Amino acid sequence: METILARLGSGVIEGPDDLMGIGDCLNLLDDLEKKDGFSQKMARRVNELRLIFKRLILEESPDPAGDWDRSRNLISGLVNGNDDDPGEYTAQVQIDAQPPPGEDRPEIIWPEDDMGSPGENTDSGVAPADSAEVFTEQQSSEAQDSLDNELQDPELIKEFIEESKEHLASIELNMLALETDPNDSEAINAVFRPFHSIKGVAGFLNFTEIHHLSHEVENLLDMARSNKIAVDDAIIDIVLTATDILKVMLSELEGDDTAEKKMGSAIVEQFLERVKNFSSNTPAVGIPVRKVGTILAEHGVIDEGAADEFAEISRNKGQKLGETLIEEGVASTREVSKALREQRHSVESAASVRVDTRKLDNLVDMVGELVIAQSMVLQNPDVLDIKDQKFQKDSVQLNRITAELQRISMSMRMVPIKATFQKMIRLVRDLSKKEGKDVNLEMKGEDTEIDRNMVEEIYEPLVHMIRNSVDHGIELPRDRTSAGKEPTGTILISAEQKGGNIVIDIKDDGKGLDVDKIRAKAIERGIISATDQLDDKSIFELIFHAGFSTRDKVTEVSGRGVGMDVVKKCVERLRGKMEVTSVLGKGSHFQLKLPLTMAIIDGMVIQVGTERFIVPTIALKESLRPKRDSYFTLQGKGEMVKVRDLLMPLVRLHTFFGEEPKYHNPWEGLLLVVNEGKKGYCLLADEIVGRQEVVIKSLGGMFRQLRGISGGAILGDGKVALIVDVKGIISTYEDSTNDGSGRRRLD
Amino acid sequence: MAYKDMTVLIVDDFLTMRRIVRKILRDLQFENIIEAEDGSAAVEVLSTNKVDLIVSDWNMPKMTGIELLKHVRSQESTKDLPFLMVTAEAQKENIVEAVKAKVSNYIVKPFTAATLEEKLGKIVPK
Repeated sequence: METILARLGSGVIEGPDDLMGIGDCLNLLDDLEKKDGFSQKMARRVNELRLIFKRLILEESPDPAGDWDRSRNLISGLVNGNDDDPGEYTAQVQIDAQPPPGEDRPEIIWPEDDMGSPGENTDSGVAPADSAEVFTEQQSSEAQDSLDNELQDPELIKEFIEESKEHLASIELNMLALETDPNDSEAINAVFRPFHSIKGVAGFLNFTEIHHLSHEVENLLDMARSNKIAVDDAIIDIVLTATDILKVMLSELEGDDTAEKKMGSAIVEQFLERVKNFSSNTPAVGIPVRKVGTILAEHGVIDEGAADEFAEISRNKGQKLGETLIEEGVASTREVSKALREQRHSVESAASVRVDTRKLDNLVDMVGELVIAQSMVLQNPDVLDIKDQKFQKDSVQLNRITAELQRISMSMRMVPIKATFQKMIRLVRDLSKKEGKDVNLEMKGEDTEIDRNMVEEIYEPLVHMIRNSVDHGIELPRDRTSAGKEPTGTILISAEQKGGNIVIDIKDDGKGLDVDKIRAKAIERGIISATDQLDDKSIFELIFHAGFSTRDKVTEVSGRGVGMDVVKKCVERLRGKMEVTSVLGKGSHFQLKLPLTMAIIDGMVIQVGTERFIVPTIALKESLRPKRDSYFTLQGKGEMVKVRDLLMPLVRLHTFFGEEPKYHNPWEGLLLVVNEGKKGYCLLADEIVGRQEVVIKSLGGMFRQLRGISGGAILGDGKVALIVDVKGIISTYEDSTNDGSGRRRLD
Repeated sequence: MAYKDMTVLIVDDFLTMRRIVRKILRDLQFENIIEAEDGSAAVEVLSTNKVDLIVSDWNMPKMTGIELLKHVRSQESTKDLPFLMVTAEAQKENIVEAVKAKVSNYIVKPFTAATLEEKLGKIVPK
């Protein structure tokens, strides 16, 4: 205590401009507060000093000379343990007024020459009261005006446009990260920064509209950064819109220096209005933080009711609650700072550890390797021969541990699908408004967890299917009424975990798919021929065909150049399945079946000749051994198998992979029935070895072009097996059989 | 020391911003100007160059201005180095934090050559 006071006494602040001196002093005050014997009286002086220093630092003091004087008196009071009451001093009120009468203030003890005369300090150089004005709008625009000539350099502007565009491009990426984890402060920062930088430069270059826009968004993001508002889809939407507007503004700048004004100022104004309303209306949310008042009440320092009263007072004064309590002498600085520490602590303990996703991916990979290495060891013939009871028991235990380890490591990458679903609310609202429809979006199973890598991937297909449901599914309110339905349509989106898959259902109670219309359109587009016999299900599948659209006009809603075919491709890339059912007039039901993770698949291990292959279970409908008489060859269509009532082409895997099979006849081997395009195919294999979860290994660049193979995996015995790409095999098959056969290709 | 004999280090992650600050510094007759695109790059510059003044942005990826300031102040060779923090108006609330970390002074964007000169006058005696 004594040493700090001595240092405080000998510390020289050269004047209100000497920020480093003030900094030293502030740090000493912080130290002082932690010491024993820190009295209420000292606390009042320290707190007033802090306020004064803050005013001086921010050049906001209405009376810098008076403040400066006062700070020296306060310090000397502290150092000399002067028992006089520090008294009241209110520089805020006394703008332009004379300093308070000297008699009321403790004597200045420090020699004048040590500190320099306060009068001299403010008279020399620029008076802080003047420079405080730099912050006002008028001054800063004057500053910009004088910059115009120096900085309106075409090179500089070009550079600014290019750099800004680069930075804006990164925003969308980071927004995605935010959608997955709205508390990802790194991502908020990464989104905040481009707006901040663009604002800064735009200020210099006098691009007022860009400056204004980025400033508002920056404010909004700053609130998100400090947890005053939560990052939800509304904010994400605002940020993305702002990004778009900024891009347009920049492009216009590029063309013509004066073009900025051309960008519909009204749009910008409207948008800014929206942002402002948003920032002022949004209540504070985010991590629930225990109030300081509550903590103090728990400590028995004050009672809860009083805490609320003081909170009100502090709000009116524009102070923090703690400041008011200390000023009023209700709580000591020590008690308040203890409460503050506890508050911080409670925030920290609610947080979690953030880990680089690459590390997580590595962990999952390594655990996968561990599982495989374990089964390699346990399935080693020599080990299998061990009959020791204890060994048997221990290996079961080892199995259990690795399985659990695998489950846990996978679950670390899982995030609830909620965030993705919630973005659909806004989408539906916007779309239905635009279309003049009444749509109610219901959600189920939002807590279902899904691999974070998958979350990003399923966003686009989901958006498209929702678009599709609003645009093509739900009818206009009057059409619905005349069809005897509620005027408000309903879209239900639900997720659930089934086995190793996540199943996402999108159901609407709209008009459903019209089989005849789709058929007619498909014939017209040359997708099928008029003679093709197709069941309803196969006809529904036609909507996934590239370029298929039953709407004549491309609408703004669905017509973005992508059709359901893109959705299907997306889902297939994720090794998922997509199905559609529909009842005319009642509604449609789209079902996405996706693996929980992209790193592991559930596979059927099959034997073809000497090789083993893995067929993703999700691609399989059934497996069977046909009767001899259900196999025949059709002229122009090749080998066929009749499965129940359906004729399916026979695809010989051994031919495809160039293997010498054990069985040439389908009735001896085994048929795997798969659905591809709009119909079924039978893949001929020798036998099914077993079913197993495998960790997918990419084959590397050299084999990327390989058709019919999507990767490799290490089997339990340590041997490598290739993962069959059913789609690739079928399209290769179709390519070869359609050559010269004159038959229309279906996919 | 005259401005033209001083070496000044500009730290900002935004290239255009560095160009602007460089331009203004040139107007003030500074000749030796080094640029760094964030705090950690600045630390590297400081380890190999003799720098007389730092003009640093606050908000930067990897290592922020305040982190750079703390580093500079923790090193014996640079503990008294004039350090001017460039901030946005919205960040004014945080300036006390910078003062406690012993910043020499700060300047709010956008600024003119005259404002910069005035601030420099307070921290580097000409």
